[in-house]
Amino acid sequence: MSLSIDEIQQLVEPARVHSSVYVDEELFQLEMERIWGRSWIYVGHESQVKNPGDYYTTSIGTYPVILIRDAKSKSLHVLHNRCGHRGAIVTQRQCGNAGVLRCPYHGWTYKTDGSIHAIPHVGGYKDTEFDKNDEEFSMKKLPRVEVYRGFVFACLSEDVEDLSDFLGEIADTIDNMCDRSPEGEVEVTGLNCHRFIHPCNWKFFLENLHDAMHPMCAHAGTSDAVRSYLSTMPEGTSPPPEAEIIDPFAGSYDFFDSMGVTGLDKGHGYMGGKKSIFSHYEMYPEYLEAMYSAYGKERTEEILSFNRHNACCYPSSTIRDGIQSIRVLRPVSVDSTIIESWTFRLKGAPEKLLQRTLRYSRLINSPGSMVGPDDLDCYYRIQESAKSKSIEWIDLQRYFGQDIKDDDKDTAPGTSDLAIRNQYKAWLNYMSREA
Amino acid sequence: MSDNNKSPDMAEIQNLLNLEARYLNSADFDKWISLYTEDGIYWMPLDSEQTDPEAHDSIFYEDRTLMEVRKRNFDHQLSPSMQYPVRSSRIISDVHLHKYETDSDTYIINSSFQAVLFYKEQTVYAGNYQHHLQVTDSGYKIKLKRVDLLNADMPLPPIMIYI
Ligand SMILES: [Fe+2]
Repeated sequence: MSLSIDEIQQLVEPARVHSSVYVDEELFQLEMERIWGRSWIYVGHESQVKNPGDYYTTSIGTYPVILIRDAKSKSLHVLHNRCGHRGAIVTQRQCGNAGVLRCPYHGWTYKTDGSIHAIPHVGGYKDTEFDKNDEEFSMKKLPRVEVYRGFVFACLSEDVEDLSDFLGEIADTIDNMCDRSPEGEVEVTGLNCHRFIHPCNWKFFLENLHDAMHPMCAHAGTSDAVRSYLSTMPEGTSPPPEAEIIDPFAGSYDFFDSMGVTGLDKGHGYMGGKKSIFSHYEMYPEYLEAMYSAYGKERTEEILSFNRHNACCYPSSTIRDGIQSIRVLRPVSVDSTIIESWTFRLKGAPEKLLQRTLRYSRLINSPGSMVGPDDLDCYYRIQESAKSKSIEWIDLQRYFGQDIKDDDKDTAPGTSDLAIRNQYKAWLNYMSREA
Repeated sequence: MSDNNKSPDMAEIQNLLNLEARYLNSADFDKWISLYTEDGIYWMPLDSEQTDPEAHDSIFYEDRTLMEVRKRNFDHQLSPSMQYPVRSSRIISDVHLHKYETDSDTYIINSSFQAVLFYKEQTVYAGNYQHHLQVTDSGYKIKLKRVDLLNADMPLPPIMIYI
């Protein structure tokens, strides 16, 4: 590596960032090591691996890993998905169930905790340094795995704070999503999710989460199409259920300013709090009833008045409590990222809520959506400019110097660039730590 | 149109499927929508095993309302993603009757397709169509079109037009 800490620090100024952070291959490798290799990364949800031996393959940064439920103890492990022998990826299946994991190259088998189960023709290792119990020859366990209310996070490095300290206030978003279930639990709606290819650097996606200056502009085509269709409907007909989802995307600058944006430690952040783009969703009486009988009126109102939009759990995911979804970043290369969108069912809630969650997912997050491609295209445009070097510095100074500081968080009007500046503060912190 | 409801007029059905492809190839949404019943649905599941669109996420699950919105969004001058040409071409083969459902008087027609979409770059989509057709006064109409992509569960670029 030739980039010094000094050189890296010159790329981020308080209110602008150098465009090479989106295109430089070496920086990307360093990010995988220093950010993705040293922070808690969202791996999956417990409900994806309900039964002993259930597994799900994914990645942390560019490392293939496997989330697996121990066939005996039923506890969860996250293992490096590579054989301890010659390093081949052990399973290429997306998910499945296995009593033992078997590498198809030379037939080494592993228990569901990653330790060696058996090796063919093992006599050949007699009087060598090979040791069946040496974890170097196992499917190595990730040193840190923790579960927060069903959400599984792992870290490639031993040296990281406890998950709850890492999450900080982001834990409130996970709590709120779960508490919106009368049973206090959520589960994935299927073993599959949207996998949307974004031909851009992973950071553009995170920076757009709290970019409240773009919806009324970049999504004007979609909101205009909805409005234009509504105008053809006879007077008095109730609008289709899609309208409540698309409407806020045409919200005014004042609406988004009043939502507010909050920057937290470690690059995390969120929009809203009391008010979000989900605040005006129809309240179904049968849902309220189920919530009242589970929590009582007062607690129910407390749960439902909590409204955040796009709680960013830097660097790997973003959670929407109000619509029960999580989007997961899977960086592929400096200019390619896969965005997964998972949806959750609120256990014990009427099906209507799940239907709204799915409607939202199709309308906003599916590769077939009308909204997602407009976001993606905007990131792609900056990616191309950065690549051609036609832009050198990227500006971040909306409401700069006017943040309201309160303990460990900063807040600002919703259209501030605060969240992006806050992400780069964390980026610098991570990237300035050598070994 | 065949007198006997149970034996479909395959020539007419073949014609309908070709017409549907032709309207999408030319992005003629008005004509395309008119091929659907009032409660017609266009569905592209995330998973070919999927049977219930209300219990599982889908890539598309659109009624006529959304078809009308999409028509108005297509080529919209304020949309960044619509500044690029969207061109497409479809080939359908092996059109055959899968099943006749007596209760709903519906013909279920299976076929396979290849669709080439040009959007920034050329992408080939392929898989199976399933059309649920009902006989109306103006001939066969599509009550449901299900599109199972070979790679529905794999990473996908934006899909800018119905396949
Ligand atoms: Fe957007």
